[in-house]
This record gives sequence, C-alpha cells and structure tokens, in this order.
Amino acid sequence: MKNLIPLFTLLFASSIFSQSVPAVEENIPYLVTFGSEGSKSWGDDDFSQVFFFSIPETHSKAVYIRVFDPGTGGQIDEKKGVFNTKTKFSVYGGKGCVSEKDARNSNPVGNYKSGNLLASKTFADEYDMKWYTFGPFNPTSGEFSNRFGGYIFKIICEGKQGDDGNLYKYFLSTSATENKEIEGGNAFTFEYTFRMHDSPDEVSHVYPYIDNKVVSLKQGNFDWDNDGDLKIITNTRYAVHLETSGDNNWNRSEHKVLSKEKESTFDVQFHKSKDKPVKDNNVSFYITNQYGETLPFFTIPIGGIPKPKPSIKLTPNK
Amino acid sequence: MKQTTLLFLFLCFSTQSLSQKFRFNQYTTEDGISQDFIYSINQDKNGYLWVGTGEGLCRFDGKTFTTYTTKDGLAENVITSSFMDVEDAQWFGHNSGSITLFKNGKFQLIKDEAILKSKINSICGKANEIYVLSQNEGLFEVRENHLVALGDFEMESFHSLQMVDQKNLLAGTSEGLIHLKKKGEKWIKAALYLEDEWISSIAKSQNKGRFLIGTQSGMLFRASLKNGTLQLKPWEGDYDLSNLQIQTILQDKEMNIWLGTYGKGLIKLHTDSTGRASKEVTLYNEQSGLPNDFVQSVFQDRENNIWIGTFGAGLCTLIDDFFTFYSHQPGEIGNNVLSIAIDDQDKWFGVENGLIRISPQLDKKWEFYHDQNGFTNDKVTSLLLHGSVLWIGTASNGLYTFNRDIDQLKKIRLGYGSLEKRINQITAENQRIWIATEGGLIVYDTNSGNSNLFGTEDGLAHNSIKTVFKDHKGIIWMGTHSRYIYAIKDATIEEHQLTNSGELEVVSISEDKNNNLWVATAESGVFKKTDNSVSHYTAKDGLKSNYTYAIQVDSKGNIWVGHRGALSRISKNEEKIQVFDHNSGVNGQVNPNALFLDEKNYLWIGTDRGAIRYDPSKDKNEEIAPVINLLKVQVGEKMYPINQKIELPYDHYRVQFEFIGISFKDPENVKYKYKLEGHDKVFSNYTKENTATYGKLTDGEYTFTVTACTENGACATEKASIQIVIAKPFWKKWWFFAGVILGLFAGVTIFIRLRLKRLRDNQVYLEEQLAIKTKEVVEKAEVIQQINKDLTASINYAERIQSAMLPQIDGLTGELPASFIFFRPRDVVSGDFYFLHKYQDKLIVACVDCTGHGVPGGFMSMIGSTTLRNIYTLMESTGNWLDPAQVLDKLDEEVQKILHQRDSFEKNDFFKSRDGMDMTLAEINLKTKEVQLAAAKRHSFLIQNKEVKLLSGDKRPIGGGEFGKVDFSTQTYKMNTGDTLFLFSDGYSDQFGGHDGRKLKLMGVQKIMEQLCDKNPVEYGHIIQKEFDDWKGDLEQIDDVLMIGIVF
Repeated sequence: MKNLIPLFTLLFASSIFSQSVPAVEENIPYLVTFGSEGSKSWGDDDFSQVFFFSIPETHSKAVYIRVFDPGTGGQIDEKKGVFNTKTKFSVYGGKGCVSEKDARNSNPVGNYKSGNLLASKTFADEYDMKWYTFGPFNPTSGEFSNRFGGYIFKIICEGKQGDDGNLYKYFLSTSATENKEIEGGNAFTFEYTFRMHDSPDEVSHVYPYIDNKVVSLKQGNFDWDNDGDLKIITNTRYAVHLETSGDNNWNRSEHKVLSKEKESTFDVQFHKSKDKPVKDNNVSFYITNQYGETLPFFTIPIGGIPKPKPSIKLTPNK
Repeated sequence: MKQTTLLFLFLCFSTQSLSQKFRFNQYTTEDGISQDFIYSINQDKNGYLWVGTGEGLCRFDGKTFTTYTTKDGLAENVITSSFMDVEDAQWFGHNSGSITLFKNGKFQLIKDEAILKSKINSICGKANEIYVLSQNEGLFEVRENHLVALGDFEMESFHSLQMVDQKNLLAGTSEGLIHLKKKGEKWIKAALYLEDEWISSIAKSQNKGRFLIGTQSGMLFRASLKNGTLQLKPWEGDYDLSNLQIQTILQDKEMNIWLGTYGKGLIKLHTDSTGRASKEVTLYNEQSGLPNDFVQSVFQDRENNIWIGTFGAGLCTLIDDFFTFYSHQPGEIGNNVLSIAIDDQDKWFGVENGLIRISPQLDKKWEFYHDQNGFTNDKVTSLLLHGSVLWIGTASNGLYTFNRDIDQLKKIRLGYGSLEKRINQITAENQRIWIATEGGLIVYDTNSGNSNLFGTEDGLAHNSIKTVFKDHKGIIWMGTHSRYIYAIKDATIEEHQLTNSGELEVVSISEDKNNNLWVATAESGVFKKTDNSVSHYTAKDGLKSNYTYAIQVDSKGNIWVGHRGALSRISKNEEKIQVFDHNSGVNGQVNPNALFLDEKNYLWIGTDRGAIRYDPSKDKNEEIAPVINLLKVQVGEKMYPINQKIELPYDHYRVQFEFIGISFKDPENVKYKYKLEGHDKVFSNYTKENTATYGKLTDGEYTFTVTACTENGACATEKASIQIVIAKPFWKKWWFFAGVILGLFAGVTIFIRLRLKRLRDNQVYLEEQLAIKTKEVVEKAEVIQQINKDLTASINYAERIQSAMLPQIDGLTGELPASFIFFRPRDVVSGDFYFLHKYQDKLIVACVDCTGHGVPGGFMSMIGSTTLRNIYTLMESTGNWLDPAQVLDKLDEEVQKILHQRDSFEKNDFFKSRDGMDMTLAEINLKTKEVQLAAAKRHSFLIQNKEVKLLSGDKRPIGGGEFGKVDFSTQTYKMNTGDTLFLFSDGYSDQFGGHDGRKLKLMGVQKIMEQLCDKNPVEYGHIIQKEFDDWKGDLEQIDDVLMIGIVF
C-alpha cells in the first residue's frame, strides 16, 4: 500500500463537487438495501451496504451525512407485501473506520463495524422522499487516511427487519438542512448494491480505481438477471466484457490489467437488455485485485472517466 | 474578538407575537480556540478553563486561548472527554483510545493500542482509582499509568460513566444503563436498566450520591443507590423532553438542570431549591441566540457562568441572563413598546400602532388590537390594569378601556379638547382614574362617569402633565414643566420644590420602599425626595445620561432609570450606580414611563426595539474575586520557571513579571496591585496592566506578590508570589570579609616580618658598617687626637706666648690698687687683650676686642698688641705724644697696612680682609686723675658719685675694611677718688644667660654697674666676675670676656 499514490491528489482532476451517492456521473437511481428477512433473489446479497466519505484535511467545519428517504415505505421503496422493514443507518469514524481490513470487505463479516460509532438511527417508514441528516460531525473525528484522501467516515446501512427493499441516496454536505458539497470531498464503497434504471436506454456506471499493484482483477456481480451486458472501459480499451449473473446468483470473471491501465479509473458500464429489460432490477457488484482485495469505487472517478485513445488513425480525404 | 450574538426565539404561542432572545459570548477559531468542535470543559484550581476540541486542548484565561497538541505532549489531538481528579490532575480521553494525564504542568501519555482503540467517552474516579470508558472496548482502570481491561460486559458500545463509590459504577451504553459492582478484584454487571435506551449522559447531582441520567431518546431520570440497588426516578417536570437527543447534563449550584442536546440546543429545567422541577423551562437555541443547536458539553465555572461547548460553533457563555429580550419579526405589528401592563392573566404591550395582548386564554394565544378590530391605529402610551378593566391611553385619540370580562374595547369620551386626548400616563385611586394629558390632569370617576380637569388655573405650572403617580398613601403626584412636583391632597394642589433655581421637566415618578419619591427629569437627571430633603443624581454621579425617560423601583429596592440606549440602576443603598447599555444588550430608546414591575417581580422595559424583561432572581450580583496567576518572569531576555525560587548571580537585572487575574465575568476590568518586597515599601496602585517591570535589581532577596481584583474591588485572597534572590557580590560575602581580614593580617604579619628581617639585616649590616666605620673613626680619631694634641700643644704654647705678651696686672693695681681686670678667654688663646703702659705720670689702659676668638683672635690680638706697643714706643722715642684718638687713628692705619686691607678691597679679592678690632683706650693722668678716653666702636661705663654713666665711643672699628671714616675722638673726664671707669669687650654684654637664656646686653651691664654704686670698690672685680658667672650659669661662654675696672 505504501507505494500507492495518495488518491486525493488525483481528485482534483475530476469534479470536486459531487458528493451525492450515487453520483450523477454514475447514473444510478438509488442505492438499495433490503430488510434482513428479504429474499436475496431481489438483488441484495447481504442486506447491508457500506459507504465511506472522505473529507479533505483542509476542511475544518462541520460535515453532515444526509440520507434521502431513509425509511422504507412510500413512493420509491420496493414493497413486498406490506411495508414491514426497518433499516438502521450507523455512522462511524475514528481509528479503524477504514483501515480495518474487514471494513473494506465486500461482505459484512468480521469487524466491519470498526471505528467509533458516531450516530445511529433506525428507520421504519419515516422520511419518505425526505432527507434525514446525521451530524454535525467533526471532520477530525473521522479516521485520517492519506490513501483515501483525508478524514474518513463510514456509514453502514443494515436491513434490520422486514423484507422490503429500501431505496435511498446519500449526500455529504456542509449543511444540516440542504445539500452543500464539501470542497474536495468524495465517497467510495467496496461493494455496490443499487437499483438499475428500468429504461434500456439508461447506462449505469461505477468507477473502480486500479492501483499500481493490480495486475489482474476479478469482478463479481449478483442477481443481474441477465439483464444485458456488463463491460469495462479503460484508458486503453473500449470494452472488456464481463461475465454476468442471472437471478439470485453470483457470476465472476477475471481480467488482466495492462500496465498502462494501472493507476487509473475503470468505467464499469451496466447496459440493460434492449429486448427484455428487467424492471426494478437490483444488482450487487464488486471488484478485487489478484490477491482478493476489494478495490474502491469512487463516486467521483479518480483521474476522471477513462477515455481510450482510438487505435485507428483517420486521415482526411484530400 | 468574542462575538455577541443576538438572535430571536419565537415563543411557542405565535410567530407573530413577541419573541425571546438571549445574549451569548461566542469564542471560535477566530478568537484563538483551536477548533469549533468542543468536547469537554473543565476549570482548574488556578481558574483556567480547559477546553477539549477536535484539534487540541485549549487553555483559556478570559482573553487568550493557549493550544496544546501532540507537539506539546498530548497523546492525540482529538479530545473526546476530560476529568479532573481530586488532586487537580486532569485526564483527557482521545478519539483513538489514548489517554493524556496533565499533572504538575506536564503531559503524560497512557495508551495501549493492543487493547484500547476506540474513543474514550468518559473518565471518572478518585485519586489513584481512575476508570476509563472506551466506546467499543468497555471499561478500563488506570493502574500506575497502565491500562487494565475490566470487561465489555457484553454491551455493544459505551458512552457515559460515573463512579458511585469504590464498589459501584454506572455505565451508560447504547443498550441501556448498567450497574457495575465490584466483587473482589472483578467488576460484574449487576443489573441492566433502561434496556435498549442509548444512555448518553450520566451526571452527578448536586445532591451527593445522586445522579442524573439522560438518553438519546429524551429521557431524563434521577438515580441513586439504595441498599445496593439502583433507584431510577423519571423527571417529574411537565416539559416534554421526548424529542430531545440529550448529549450532556449539568446540575448547577442552584439545582437547575441544564440539558445539552443534539439539535435542540440547551434546555434549562428550572427547579426549586430542593431540585424539584418547577414549571419554568428556558430554551437556549439558535433562535434565541445560541450559535448552534448541537451542545456537546455544559459547564458551570467558579463564578457560576454557564459555559456551552457546541459542536461546530465553538465555545459560548451566557451573558447576563437576567435580561430577556422580546421582539418579533418586522411586519404589521410595531416593535416600539410604549407601555406595558401584565398580570397573571395577560401581558399587554402598547406599541406604536396598537395594542398586543398575549394570553393563554386566547385561542391563538395572542391578539393585536388596532383600527381593523375596534381599536385605533395609534400609539398606546399608557396602560393600567384596574380590576378586570384595562385602561388604555393613546398618543392622540384619548382614553379606551378593555373589559376582560366581556372582551370588549370601549372608547371613553371625556369631552375635552385635542390636547386632553394626548395621554401620557394613567393611574388609579379607588374608583378614580387619574389621567395625565398634554392639556392637564383629568380625574375620572368610574362610578359616576364624571370627570374634572386640573390645570394652570388650579395652580399647576403647566398643563402638559407628563406623569401621574399614586404613592403608598394614595396621594396623587404629578409632574410637568416645573421645578416642582405636585401632590393632590383633599382636592387641593400642593407644590414640592425639587430645586431652587432653573426649570425642570418632570417625566416620571416612582416610590421606593422607604416611601421616598424618585423623580426622573427630561434633562436634569434624577431627584430623590424624602419628607425633608431632596437629593440629586446626574451623569457625574454615574447615571448614563442626564436625559431620562422613565423611572421605576424594582422588587429589591433598586431604582431603574431609562435612557436612550441604556438603563441606569441606582442601588437601593445608593452606593453604586450601574449602567446597562449595548454591552448588556440594551440598545433601544427606553420609552417614557415604559417601565413596569409585574406581580412576579419581573421588571419590564419598553423600548423602541421591543421589550426587555429583567429577572432579579437571576441577578445574583455576586462579586467573586478573580484567581491570580503568575505567567512569566523574565530576567533580562531570559524566561524563568514561575513555580520555584529564582536564584541569580550578582548583577543588575531588569525583571519583568507577567500575571493574569482570571475572571470570566468581566475579564476586561480585572485590576491588579503588586509589591516587590525588598524593593517596594507598599503595594502599587490598582492597574489594569498585567505586567510589572523593575529596572535595576541588584543583590538582595525579593518577593514579588500580586493580587487581582474585580472592578468593584473583590480581591483574590490568595496572592501569587515568587521569590528572587540575587546573590551578593563576592566583596559583600562573609568569606570575603574574613579573607580580607586574614589577608590584611597575613600581609601585615608578612610585612612586619619582612621589615623585621630587613631591619635585622640592616642592623647586621649597620653593625658591620659601624664596626668598619668605628674602626675608621677610631683610626681617624687617633689621627685627629694626635692632631688635636699637636694643635692643643701649639695653642697652649701660643697661649703661653699670649699670656707672656699681656702686661702684668700690677701695672694697673700698682697705681690704682682697687682696680681689677676680669679676663676670661673663651678658648685657650683669646681675641681680647688688655694693654697697660706707663709713661711718666700717664697710665695707658686699653681694652681691646679683636675680631674672632681662639687662634684667629689670638693672631689679631698679637697684631693689635704689638702695633699698639710699637706706637707708644715710637711716641716715647720721638717725643711726639699722641692723644688716645690719634693713637687709635694710627693703630687703624697700621692694622690696615699689616692686613693689606685696602689692597684687598681695591683689588676686589674674593676674600676681602675685614678683620680688625674694637677697643677703648684710656690715658690716665695719675696726678690729675684726668682721663682721656677714645673708643673704637666700644662703650664704657663711669661710676661717679654713685651714678653710672654710659660713655659711648666712636662708631668705627680699628681696621675692618672701613675706609674714609672721620677720625677718632678723645673725650676727657676728671676723676675723683672712688670714681670707677669700666672698659669692657662685648663678650660680657653678649653673653646668654639669665633665667630665660637671653643676652645680657648693655642694659644688663648697666644694671650691674648700678648695683656696684653701693658696694665697696674693692669688691667690684669680684662682683663683676660673680655676676657674669651667675648670668651665664650652665650656658656656654660665647666670646672672650674682658672687663677692666679702673678705680680711682
């Protein structure tokens, strides 16, 4: 890890004002977490989702983590029978928040709730289409990580009970009452579970960062329902097609990483099937390196979205 | 700079009615605090406030924050909890499980990353028994600076901890309150209370052994241990706490409970003196002026200031909470509060465009009366609650009433002119309503509806009545443009003079508890009128201004005076006048007569910026002395520790002391006095400078002592002091004195010894030299002795020759038998000689005194004697007889020839011959007894007829180098028998002697001569000799002596 270039130094190559999760560039409607009694076939493999927020060291004012529609019920959440789901959101900071290995695992096992619990709240059906604000948090109460670009806070969403799907979004804000980005802030996760658009014309993206020790990566997707194509765009390649999963199962594939692709962001694209697009499709996705270590997906792509150079040189007709 | 925030809190009854606000001092990073997230507040025994933040620890002295970080020894920069133990050591818990102990000015780290990683949420304990609560890892004990895990008791997370006693702990967890008991060396979970409740705070109550428990879901409990079992009692107050996320709890010294919440600010639950809940609750939040609604910590300092640690907005302290400010959002309702009337039912506020009523009985809790609902759109200048009726005076529309029984407004038509509709103040006395108007004083009988008007025609100085007031006896007083105030007694008007010159405009009257009247005037300050005297208070006495608008005595007897933008308060004993201005939040113009004392003893102040409520119960006015601290001692350019005696080598030093008196109440006005014992005789005058500099301190022992006082003179009883000792120079030290004495002694001893040695050496040397010299002297003496012997032999021989040459005395005594010659040479040979020569019947007698004596005198006598003899021989042989004068001339000539005197003078020889002789030459005719006498520079005496005559000779000698003088003269005397002629040399008269050693002189000789007159001439010779010897005594004879007595 020591040879990694601090990621935050690359942040400024991209947008610095996009702390909504999912980000606009990702084109993901909502994050999703099901109640602990839900069926995995509905797309959530572990009824839990961990996200991290990074606050640049220079930021000294209070920060807030806002959750849009944290309860389960109302307009956007996925109902199974009657709404009976309770979801707990917990914010962590302090030592071990991200440095603890279990915290970066794709599965909620071990000491993944590492760090100091700063705030916690369990929601039933409250805050439908409304924002709930955690905080204020003192930036220095996060865990300082040079690698991840400052003070790190972790929010864990857990389906505590029920079987419905809780669709929600986050925003890292400087305000308790509105969404105001933190200059230089970012958000990342090591496993994404999210809701796909219903429209086959919409392409969703996630942006893993490939550090310099990655020589090959392994991707895993869960419950894709064979809803189209998954591919990776790199700074050298237009498309690396990934193995896709069906209903309620994982499918994984391994791909080599070219040397020129190291220390860059990949664009993982989720292309829905044009023929029979699946409605309300939820999917889980992660990437590991050759050692099985998960790679972070940044909502603000580190170094920007990859744009491969054309391999055919076009010359104009004389 | 500290910031004072003034924000609005809208009371629960309306967004339109008056809102409430408080004033806070806020300290943020701009003021020097290291971060705006405040986790902990403590105060040490020196008065410093210790503030734990997310970026270090700050020490606050009232003016300056000093920050300590890991660079200074903190374990971590994020301080999450703090605790001060009984030994005044401070314990700080950190975000990653470390602990810092600050003791005796030093930081000490306590950490064990292997067992403690998560945030330290609480520390408690006693001396040598400190317990630490880690959020994730549970309970630990600090034993000899090491952490010992006591267990996690199967709880998810831990958030608060208090020690009940040595065997009982209370720990707040995210799953409830656990009671921990110590069994043996182990702590066990005795019981779980409030299951599934997040226990965010456990605070000690002011009642010993009791605790206050707060949860994140807004539950508040009292807790105490009874028979080993925890007793929990829910908070009994009416106020709904359920929406509060309680973060911290403080019970202040007056038993009130302060709840710091996340999102709802600070809640003060008022209690009675036993701690029981009262109905009153005060909310301090963003709307009422608190900078932030997230309160992490609350602390009450030694001066009873309440400190609020916010999460994100820094540190705050509540200022003068005895003032509460009411206003509302700008809009249709005016904020200019001109009049106030309050009872237990209603609050009435007259504003510039109507009347506000606030009442819980109203549906919407408030009402605004104006021209749209039966009132008037006019200034409401005066309000009076009289029974169920509110009497309302307006600025130009006369009098109204509001009957609360029927909720009805009614205009009272009195039938006077427009000036009488301009009402300034109203008061009531039984059924009579007294109305001060611009047109006079109206009295209105509520029973009959009749009214009467008092004006100038009744004796008033002016019709513009500014104020009307009923005293404790029911007497109606009024004030107008006059130096009098007027009392109405028995329907007549009495005037009472306030001042004997000038004019006043009396605007307001009040009465104190001693029944003295207090009168406010428009431009002349305030007067106090007793039964028999009047006192006057002006700006010179401390009033904010001489322009006053309202006056009111409060429930404590203090007199409040309203000004433009300020209030003055005259203490009830009149010792002090205190001003409350913008620094206290009073900014608006106090309106005329707009002071109102309600039944709860609140004093209400109407201003053009809303209303202010003064709560005297909160105004403790306690004078707590500052704590004095010595900060720095700088000697020259060097800093010295302040906690130990400073010892300096000898020199002249410039010493500067820096100190601070910590008072958070009024840090800007802390004053100091100090003294440097050993230098100053008395303490300095008070100064606000916190340094003292001494220019040149030299050797000595000094003790610097300083104390700090509040502006009103409450001084710290415990003074700060430090001792400085400047060593004496070596020359003032005892050893130096001893050394000097020893050195001197040694020096002297050595000197003496050296001297003695040198003397001894010299003595030896001298003895040797003496021996040598003695030998030489002896040898030379022998030579000299031989020479002397030879000389003496020669001189003796010369004496024989001289004696042989002297004539026999028979030559005289043979002719004149009684005569005598007394001849006594000084040496062997004599310079004097006598000459006797008889030729025929002439006897020649000469008494000669040659120059010199001894051998040279002998030679001269030989010349003289021989020459004189030759002259007489020649005279005899030639028959050419010369008289004595001629003989002397001849002798003179011969002597000069013999001695070549003329040649030596003419040749101007270096050695000129001045030798010669004095002499008396007498030629006695033996037959005729006639004497011819000639004398060269000599005198003679003649006794004749028992009388002594001095016979003076010529004044020239024989020889002697005197040339060209006149010839000698001869005098002739006829002698008779018995007459005696005395010829003598100067050896007799020049002899020293007598009792005082003086010369005998000629006079002395004459006296001897006179004595002789009565004596027998035969005895003359013997007497002359005896007298000479008696005169000379033991003295040396100085010259040859020759005395010849020729007795006829």
